[in-house]
Amino acid sequence: MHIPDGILTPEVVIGGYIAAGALTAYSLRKINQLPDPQASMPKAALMTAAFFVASWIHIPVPPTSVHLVLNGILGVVLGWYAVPAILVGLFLQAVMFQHGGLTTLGINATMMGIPALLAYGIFQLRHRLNLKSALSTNIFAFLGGAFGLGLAALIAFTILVTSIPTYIDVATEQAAITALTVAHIPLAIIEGIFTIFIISFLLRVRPDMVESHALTH
Amino acid sequence: MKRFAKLFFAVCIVLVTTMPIIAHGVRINHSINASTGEVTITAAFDTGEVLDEAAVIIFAPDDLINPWSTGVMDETGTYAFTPDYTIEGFWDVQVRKAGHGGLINIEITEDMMPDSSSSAVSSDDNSNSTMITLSDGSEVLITGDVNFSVNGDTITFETASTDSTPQNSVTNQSSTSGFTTAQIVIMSASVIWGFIGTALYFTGRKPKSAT
Repeated sequence: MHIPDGILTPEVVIGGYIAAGALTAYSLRKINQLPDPQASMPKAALMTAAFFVASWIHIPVPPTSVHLVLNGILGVVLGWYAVPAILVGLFLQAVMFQHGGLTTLGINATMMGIPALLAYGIFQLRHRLNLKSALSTNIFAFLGGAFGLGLAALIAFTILVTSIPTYIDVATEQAAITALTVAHIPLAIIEGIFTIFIISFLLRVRPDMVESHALTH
Repeated sequence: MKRFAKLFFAVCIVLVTTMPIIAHGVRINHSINASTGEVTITAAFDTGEVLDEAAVIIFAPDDLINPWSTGVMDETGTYAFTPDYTIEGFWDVQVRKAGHGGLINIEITEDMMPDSSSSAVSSDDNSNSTMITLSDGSEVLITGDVNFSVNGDTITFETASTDSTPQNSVTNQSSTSGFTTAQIVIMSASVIWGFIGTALYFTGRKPKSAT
């Protein structure tokens, strides 16, 4: 999921930074418009820590293996805060463990940040549909968490497949990228279930943290 | 909030200290055999899983746009090539598979070219014995597995090797992630503690900002 340095062309890398810059600026502006922007900072800090650690947790999906990403969960729980949280988490992963890369920080942040915001939108749909039962909350939490990861994997697939250099075996690389993307389907289900657990836990401990409506302001 | 932070911190510590160190960072190593000049590349994920059949793209220092050579790793995640030692500088070797991979730089100089340090006179390859005729007509027979050079009537012996195994292999390591498990645990715990501290700091400020 983390695209490393040296894989993408300079045009894609620069485009990724422009997109990530715009997305982050807009998200920070939205956060600043909230009545109390600092109110969700503790939650954002802890979720960024979870995102940072997640890439070390590896799930074998034969014939390959994938690692947790948690961008959908961050979106569901944090709303606009998910974008800077993902950016900071990716930066630390790249600098400390070379997961991803500094040149691809922009494209990775965009690839995970936009689906995170859409995941929050999906989770908030239950309010518009006026569904208030615990079951509907769990279903929308699952959909948000799974969709966030699934869309990010799809974006990664598109970027990687369209930027394969012609001087390597394109068919083999395409097949490998496709296999890796398909392996993210069970991961999306797993992260969807994780999202249910986290939302259920927060609703029991601090329900105000879930119902902050960060995107509606 | 503090209850949540405590629980979260406990879960993170348990995860970091007990989980196997596994992820999708790629470690690329290379070694140069000084006697043959062959460069061997190996690549594996942090898990130890090798990048079998990964694409290898080699760029010479004089052209970083068009590959000097391309190839595919074998099932053990290994690839060997002999660079053109006349093109000095940092050679870029990229390994990629399914969007994962890495890039290493290997410094190649003409001094590293095989045979560049051969002695003035070499022994007979098959018999390990050499006859040298000096300026006064006398002859010197040198036998055994020794290296030497002749300058006028002076014969200089070099350190001999009686070991039949290759001994000129120069190994350099260059990896994208070479931390030990302990280092990774400490680094992760430090970062997590930073986030926990940030959370606690803003938790403490909350009542003040609310007023």
